[in-house]
Amino acid sequence: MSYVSFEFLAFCVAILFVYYIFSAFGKYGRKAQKYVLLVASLAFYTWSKLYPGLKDGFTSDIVSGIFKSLSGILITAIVSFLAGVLIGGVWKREAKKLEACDDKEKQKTIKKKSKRLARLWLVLALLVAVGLLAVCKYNEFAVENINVILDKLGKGQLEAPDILLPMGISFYTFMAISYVLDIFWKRYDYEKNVFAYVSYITYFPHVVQGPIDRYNKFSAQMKDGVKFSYKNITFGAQLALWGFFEKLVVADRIGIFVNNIYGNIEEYKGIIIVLATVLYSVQIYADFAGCIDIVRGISEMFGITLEKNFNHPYFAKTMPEFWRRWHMSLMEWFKDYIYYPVSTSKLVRSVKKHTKKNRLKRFGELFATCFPALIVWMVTGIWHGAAWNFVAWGMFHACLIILGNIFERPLAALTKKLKINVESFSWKLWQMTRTFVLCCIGRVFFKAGTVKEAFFIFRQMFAKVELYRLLPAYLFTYGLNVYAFTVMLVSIFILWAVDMVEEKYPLRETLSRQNLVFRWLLIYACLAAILIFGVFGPEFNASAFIYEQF
Amino acid sequence: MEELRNLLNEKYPGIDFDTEKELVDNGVLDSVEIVSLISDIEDTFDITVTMEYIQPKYFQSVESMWEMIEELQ
Repeated sequence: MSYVSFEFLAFCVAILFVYYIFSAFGKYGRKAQKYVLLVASLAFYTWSKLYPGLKDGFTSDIVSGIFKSLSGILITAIVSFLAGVLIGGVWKREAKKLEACDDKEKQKTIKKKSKRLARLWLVLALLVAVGLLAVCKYNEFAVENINVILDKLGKGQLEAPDILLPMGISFYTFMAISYVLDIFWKRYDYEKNVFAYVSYITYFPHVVQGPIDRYNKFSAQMKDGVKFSYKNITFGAQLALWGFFEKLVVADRIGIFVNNIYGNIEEYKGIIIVLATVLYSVQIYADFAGCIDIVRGISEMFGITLEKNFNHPYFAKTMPEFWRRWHMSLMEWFKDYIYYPVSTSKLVRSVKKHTKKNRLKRFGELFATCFPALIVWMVTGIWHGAAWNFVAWGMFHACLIILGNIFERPLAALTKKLKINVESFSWKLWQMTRTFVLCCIGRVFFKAGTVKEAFFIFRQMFAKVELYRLLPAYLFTYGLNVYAFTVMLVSIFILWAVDMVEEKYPLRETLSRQNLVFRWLLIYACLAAILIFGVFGPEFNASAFIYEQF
Repeated sequence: MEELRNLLNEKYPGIDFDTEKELVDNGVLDSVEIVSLISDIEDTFDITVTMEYIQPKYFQSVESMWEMIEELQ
């Protein structure tokens, strides 16, 4: 069931109704709300199999289809839950034993034994979760690359097994890993109620495209249930409405233009490819941020605040700042579960120690900064897709971050020497433009199907200028006529203006203080814009989200 | 705690550690700086900062960093 469909809206209304009926039954009713969400999430997850069964009666094919859809996510959920129970149990027993023991040597032995056992459960859980992700998502990629080697050796080819890719596997696997690692690192207590935990993993607003929420924050909101709140409903509905605008009016209209150029890339050269690439950067932002606003809005209506995923990324002045503003929940995940563990690993520590002794401190510091960044970006690339172009995209960003680190001090010294006012608007504008351009270059790897294709696009981009393609006689023939092109530009301007205001003021709170007529006028205007200017496909359905494939 | 305060003032002369109580949440310290700080804290206080302690709440202020150091000592 797509987030941008009438059936999803009807589904949400029905679930909200049942959810808040439970809240009317006091404390026990509210405690049961998590079960409503669990059932709703499982129904959402299996909708394409469940719906024919609801209409025409369940057959064995439909039942097995539901079972197949659910098996991947439930295995990851239950294994990570059990790992939490086992690791949490080890820590509890350790605490009891330590309390009863005064001998420091014995305490050390207790800690060592406990850690060894907890690590065993952790490794087993990670093997299952990461193994499932690897098998389901990367089997074709692995077989494809093995076949290249076999081909060079003159050996026979392997055939990739036909494995169903569970919806949202990259997102829910990361949530499960974060939970198990947090318990292993004693960051919070483990969950004892399997249904509460499974309702977190399968929660329908975040299971398809994130945000990648953390269990402790999620469960704290769910623990005692949620009372009906008019503010939650209105604020949530407004946020979701804005998300629909971003997706249907901005992203999908730009998509027509971009796909027209990128779909026939060999026919174009120069400026028009540059324009399509710039627009693609706006499209992917509006598409992903739109989806996140829709699901955060829906979730807010259920009284659950999901992690923030975007903070106006195209206003970033440096690449590290961009990555603190773009897909924030994923980058936070990488920081907590890959960057810090690698940065404090034995390897990095020993290199730092060794270089310090040999008066190569700066090299040691650089290694400690760059090596973890390289690992993080390699994983980020491969997480986005099982293809070399995503790895190249990750490496491109790793290079930018590493070069930024190496040249940070000399560049700061140079700007000081040149007496550049780094606080001036013009300097900040230059920094923002530079960051955006670098992002656009990376997007070419992201959009291209292969690395070869990405380099072909770069060649086409710089082969000729072909400025004439910007003339009206040409410009309005790439899928958007003059009317549609104008709508696209106006919608991009609205998106930019809203981001600009939000950068300085809490827009939602400010709007909520305006008088009723003004607020309703804005809501109707947004709704009308979606219905009139939104891009709908057959049967009034929108195109798929770009990040859905990850 | 004075030793820690001196270390921080020397490393980050532009930051007022007496008033700043949300160093991580306010973006004063980023992940690269936290890693570098961990290394300096380990050298100065002869401790090993384990993963349990590498989370925002232990790096928000001088007091929270000192709390971590005391626990690890």
